[in-house]
Amino acid sequence: MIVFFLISGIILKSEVIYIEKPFDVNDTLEVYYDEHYDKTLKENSGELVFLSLIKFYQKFISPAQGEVCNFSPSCSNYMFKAIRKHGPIGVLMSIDRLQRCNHAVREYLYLYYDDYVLTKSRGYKIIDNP
Amino acid sequence: MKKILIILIAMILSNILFAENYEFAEFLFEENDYYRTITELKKIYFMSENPDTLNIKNLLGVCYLKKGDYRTAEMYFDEIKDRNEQAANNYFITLFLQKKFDVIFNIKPANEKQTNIKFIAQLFNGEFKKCEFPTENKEVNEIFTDYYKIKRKNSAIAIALSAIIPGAGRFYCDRVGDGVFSFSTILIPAIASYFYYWIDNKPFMYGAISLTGIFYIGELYGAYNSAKIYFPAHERMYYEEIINSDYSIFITDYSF
Repeated sequence: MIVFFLISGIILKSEVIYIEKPFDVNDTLEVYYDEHYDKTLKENSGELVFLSLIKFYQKFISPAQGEVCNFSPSCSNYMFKAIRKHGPIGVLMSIDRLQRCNHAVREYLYLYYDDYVLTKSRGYKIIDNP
Repeated sequence: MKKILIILIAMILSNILFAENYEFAEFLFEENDYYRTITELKKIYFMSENPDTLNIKNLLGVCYLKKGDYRTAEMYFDEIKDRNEQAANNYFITLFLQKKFDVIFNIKPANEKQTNIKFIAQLFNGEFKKCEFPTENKEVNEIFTDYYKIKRKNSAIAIALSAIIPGAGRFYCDRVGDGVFSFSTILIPAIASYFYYWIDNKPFMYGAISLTGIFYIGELYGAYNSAKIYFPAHERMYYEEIINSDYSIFITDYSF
């Protein structure tokens, strides 16, 4: 069990540091690569754990439930981006985002959110970046 | 003799042709075909011997403004604003549409229209206290009144409400859907933790309690953020509303 977690941790960590691919190609084509932040990321193990957990969720859990998020980038991608951009506050922002991810979000288009993107499987998604 | 005649005929023909072009440009403008109006106006400007530069440039600016190309419109109006009052008014409108309030504040308004635009710019820049009306102009006062109706939400109150009843802070900020959903994200793990406590399953109980705590903190942050962005979001909506309205202040000046 421990060996499994170690191996998966190493695989996930290597991906976390260098590149983050979106969950779905339709979701967003943006690659969240920030060279400046990645230099400091190596020293911050706390954030690495968080990012690895997100990566784990995206690889093994998320595909099972399919594309259900109302936003683009999806909540896990948002969390990934928020933590990389804002550090610990990014975690708070992501929890708030999870609570905002409901059908009422479409009522707030053009008031709190500027734009939307069309997706094949889930109609339109509201664009909300951290 | 023949050459002189040909030149004369060509001149007369060209005059007729350009006169028609001007009318055609006006027709296209009235049809809201701004792309082709620009082409026609530039053709007149380039080909006629003594073009009405000020008027044509003002019209070109208006066309670009209507098309949504504010930068080019500003360039045209800026070029002639000191020599043409219409262009000066349009320059003010273009600056306002681009939210270049600082530039507006540095220019001395020359007429009532420009003064009114400056007042509205000051209003959106937060320079007027509530219920302060600097002019007696009806339209401006209407804009001021509607602007003052936009509520401001207190972040502290939102956090306090969310701390007492999760979701209430978002309700306070008119985000009912988010409030209901965030309330359920806290209520469900809270009930689950009580249930696991009742059946004496401690690991699951602690898990449910931590989940409740995480969502509770998220709810407090969400309430704070909702209150913080409430006024700027509604202010922006109102700004969009007035620039797309029929207020004469934001109607461009031009003549063909």
